[in-house]
Amino acid sequence: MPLIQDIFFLSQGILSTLSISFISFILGFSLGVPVAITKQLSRKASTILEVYDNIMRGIPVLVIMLFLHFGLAAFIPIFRDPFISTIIALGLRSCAFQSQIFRGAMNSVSRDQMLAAVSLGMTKMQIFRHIIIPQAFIVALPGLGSEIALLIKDSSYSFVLGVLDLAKYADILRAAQKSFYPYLLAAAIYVAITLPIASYLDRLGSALKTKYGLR
Amino acid sequence: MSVLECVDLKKSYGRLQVLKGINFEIKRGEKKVIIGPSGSGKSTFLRIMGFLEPPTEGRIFFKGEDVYASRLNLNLIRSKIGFVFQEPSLFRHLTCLENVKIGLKCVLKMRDKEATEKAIEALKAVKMEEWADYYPAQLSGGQQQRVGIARALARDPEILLFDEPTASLDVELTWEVIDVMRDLARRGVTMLIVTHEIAFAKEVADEILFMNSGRIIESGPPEQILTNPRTPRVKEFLKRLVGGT
Repeated sequence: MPLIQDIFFLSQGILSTLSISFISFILGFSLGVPVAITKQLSRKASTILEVYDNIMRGIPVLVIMLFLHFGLAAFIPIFRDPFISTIIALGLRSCAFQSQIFRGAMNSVSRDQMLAAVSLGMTKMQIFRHIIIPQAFIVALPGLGSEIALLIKDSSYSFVLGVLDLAKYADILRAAQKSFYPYLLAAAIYVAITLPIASYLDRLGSALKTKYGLR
Repeated sequence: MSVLECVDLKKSYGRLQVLKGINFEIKRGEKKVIIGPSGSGKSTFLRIMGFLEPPTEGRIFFKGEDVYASRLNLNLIRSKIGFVFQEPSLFRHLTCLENVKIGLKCVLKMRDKEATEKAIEALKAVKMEEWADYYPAQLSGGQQQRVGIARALARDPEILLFDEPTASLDVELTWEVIDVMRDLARRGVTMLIVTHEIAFAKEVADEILFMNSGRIIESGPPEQILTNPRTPRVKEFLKRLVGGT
């Protein structure tokens, strides 16, 4: 069966695609959450970080990747690795997106709850840790789902730098078979990966919101 | 001994002066009820007395100490005061038991076992121990409010402050909350209550204070305020309140 063979061939790129997207997601998450919290705690820091967010959201991720790999690599050798350049570029942009997702989620926690926590004598940090962040995670789930899907799709830019990802394998197959159908196959695989993740997190988020009566 | 006392308390938001000089004192074991029209500054006054907001002017004493002048640790003072809000303000992602325990563990630094015991005792006092493992979203407004009282009560506070705890409830649910409060009053808990439940006020209050546009314009024992008020404003308010129900 040529179809099975083709899927098998393309699947060699899936590992790259998945590892790029998941590592950059984790990077974006571990930077984005502290950034969102810092924004809530300090107005001055918030202004600076807001500028970062706006710049990052305004630059195409491909331009960031090219800049790291072909520009900064002259000074920071680690960016000579196309895999790392891609992950850092996607991760930095994801940080901007995820900090926005979390900011919205944290703002959705009702003011009565925060006042109640203050009345118990809890400190600002305790209120963040025990009240705001756990609820914000739930509210943020659907947004995080879309963010993962976006990263999986955008990881395909990595083939410009020479990473052998799913898109690149599809391109190799296209050249060999002189047919555009490997692209369709790759598209189907992208959908098969992104859709379940996004819709699962979306449904999980709604279910938990209903359970806890969150807005 | 006075638990809470304030002298010439004033509060402004921008140009709007909400409290215009309030003198007030409540001693251990006393129950005082504040009534008055909406917008008279009752809730603001209560929030300031609970150290949830600073006053613009004036001094507040907690057990004889001038809290703001001596720069006392506000979180420490708050941990000795129980506050019950108008809206049920339980933490949505925590069960009833966890809601009551969180202050005991985070603020009073109790061990888990001790906090659990204390929390269950408090839930029993409001007859909610059977609901310990439920989430707020699974409870009625009245039940949530009772858990809110348990949360305020569990720390053995010096005083309980109630900000219209039944205002967001319908009549039947109001009674279950009032019953709990009546019970606490009987047990000698010091309470400062803002409410429109006149019958309840009459029953438990040592003193009723009437607030109008940022001032306490009349105060005295319930019989006097409710049956024979001196000021026409109080007379008019009570007439409307009774006539309205």
